[in-house]
Amino acid sequence: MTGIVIEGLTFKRKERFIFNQLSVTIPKGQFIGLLGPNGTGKSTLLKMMVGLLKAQGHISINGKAIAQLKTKEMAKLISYMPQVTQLETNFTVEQVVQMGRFPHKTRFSSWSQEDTRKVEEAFELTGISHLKERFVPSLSGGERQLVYLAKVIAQDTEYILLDEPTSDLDVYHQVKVTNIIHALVKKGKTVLAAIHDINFSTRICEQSLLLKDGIVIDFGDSDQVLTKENMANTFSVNAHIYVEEQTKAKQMIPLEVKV
Amino acid sequence: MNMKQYKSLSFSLLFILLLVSIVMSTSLGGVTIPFQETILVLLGAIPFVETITDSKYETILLQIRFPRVLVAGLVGAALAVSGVVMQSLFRNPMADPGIIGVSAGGAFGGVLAIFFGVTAIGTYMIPVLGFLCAFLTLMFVYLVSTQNGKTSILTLLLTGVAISSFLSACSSLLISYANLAQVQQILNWLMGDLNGRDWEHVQLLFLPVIICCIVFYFYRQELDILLLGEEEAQNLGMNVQRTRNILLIVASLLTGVSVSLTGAIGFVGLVVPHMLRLLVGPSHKVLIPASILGGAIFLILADLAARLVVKPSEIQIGIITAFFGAPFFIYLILRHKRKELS
Repeated sequence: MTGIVIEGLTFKRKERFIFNQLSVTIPKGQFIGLLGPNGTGKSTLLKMMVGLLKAQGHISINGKAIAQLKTKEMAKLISYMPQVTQLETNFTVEQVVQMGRFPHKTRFSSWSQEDTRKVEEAFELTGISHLKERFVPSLSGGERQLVYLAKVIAQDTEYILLDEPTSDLDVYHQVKVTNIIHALVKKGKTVLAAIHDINFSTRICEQSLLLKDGIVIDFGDSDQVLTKENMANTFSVNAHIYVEEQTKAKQMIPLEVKV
Repeated sequence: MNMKQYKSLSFSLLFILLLVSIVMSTSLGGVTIPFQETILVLLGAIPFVETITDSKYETILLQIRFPRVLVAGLVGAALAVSGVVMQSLFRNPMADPGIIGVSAGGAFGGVLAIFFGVTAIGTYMIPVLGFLCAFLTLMFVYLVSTQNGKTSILTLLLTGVAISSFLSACSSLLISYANLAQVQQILNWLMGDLNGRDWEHVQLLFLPVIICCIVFYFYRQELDILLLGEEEAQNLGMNVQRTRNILLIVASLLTGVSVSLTGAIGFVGLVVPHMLRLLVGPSHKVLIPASILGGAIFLILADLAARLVVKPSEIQIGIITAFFGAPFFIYLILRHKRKELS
């Protein structure tokens, strides 16, 4: 059984249910946008899928329960890029990207040709080879995001979870990150990204997963998920939905708050 | 010059500096012995190396000064490496064995031993009690600041501050009850003292320091990755809690053993790692060996200064390290503040 299967996930924070019996299956080989209002638990769900947070319920990846997986086995299967990165130490870009190979090594194994190849691939895909010798804390937000993305790519996992990968980026870096993700999906990776910009997400993701109050409102092709009813139910706005001519993607304009 | 050449050059420099400081520190003191003679006697002490062995200074050099220099070197290395590890664990350049209270624990053990006269059983009781107290302090600090298997770094540091104050208050209380001879001995202890350290101390230090340093070197990748943050480390497949526990315990053992044999010598774990990070970068693969060398050099030279400034008498080595370390600590705080403001 491939894909990520979530069953009966229940999680409370301060007496409030973040998830109440949430069940959903993430299929393989897709780029899926995770959408929902603020505080709906998008980041929390991503963290649970990589085992950073524990909750009641069952999550399995490719048929293996994550509770039974060792951290290292898990890190070979699924990777995660947090929204905020907090490196203050003067590591070079190359050193940080190389850290992505950690799960594939044992204490006594030396740096292999495979490691070099994967790191080179990550640099090629992200196009940041020219930054290799730079110190990470000296980079701009956009460049830093690309470095962390390169690290995740070097980790070489089947599943990749990204928390708001484009939210603080200028348009140049937004397009760049999007292209990189598309290239990864083409290579057979599964990418699940929490994105708060609904229009952007609908344009770039094949599928959308709509969450609210800990339950799945809708999940399917992005064009089919972006409907008046879904916007009203999830975000409490009346929206105008139209097809954008250039990209042929559905887009929405929020008109008013639903009363 | 590429990175690799630069690092080899840095290591060569540190190594030469270590040899020079060993020779200097062994030669200079109350009696000044020519460097050449010191080198020949030291070389002659190496098995199978034949040089002159009938120097009139042989006793001073081999029985008094050289073991003291070795103790300084080993303790310097131990404290510097403990500092490196704690700074990476707490992701804070100001973390240091002294700051989380382990040094205070070790020193208090020493005071206890002197005060209750258990040194009559044997001088080794000072290190034993010192080490025991350092370890108990760590366990206490750790248990207080750990909840549900997770340690809050802020709580850990604050608990360290509190326990340090508490233990120095206890030490002061004992001092006020102690007789004059004990007071002198205790004060020497608290300021950090290398006077009279001999081959027995070298033997006691040697194995623990070497073993702990090797353990740290095994964990060099983990230490690098911990600097990315704990979530990142776990994402990369590290068992963060277990790694942290092992590193904390080994770092405290290393500090406990050192402090119990020399008294609380402060700031070595703060100054040395910071300077070496500027020289060789933050990667632990190079930072750990560099700190071993750098810590040894720093304390050997500090000890030399302690013996020379008020010649023919001498001052405690802790005074010297505090003179360098305390302003440095304030400089770090100011820099940190500026960073936060900007």
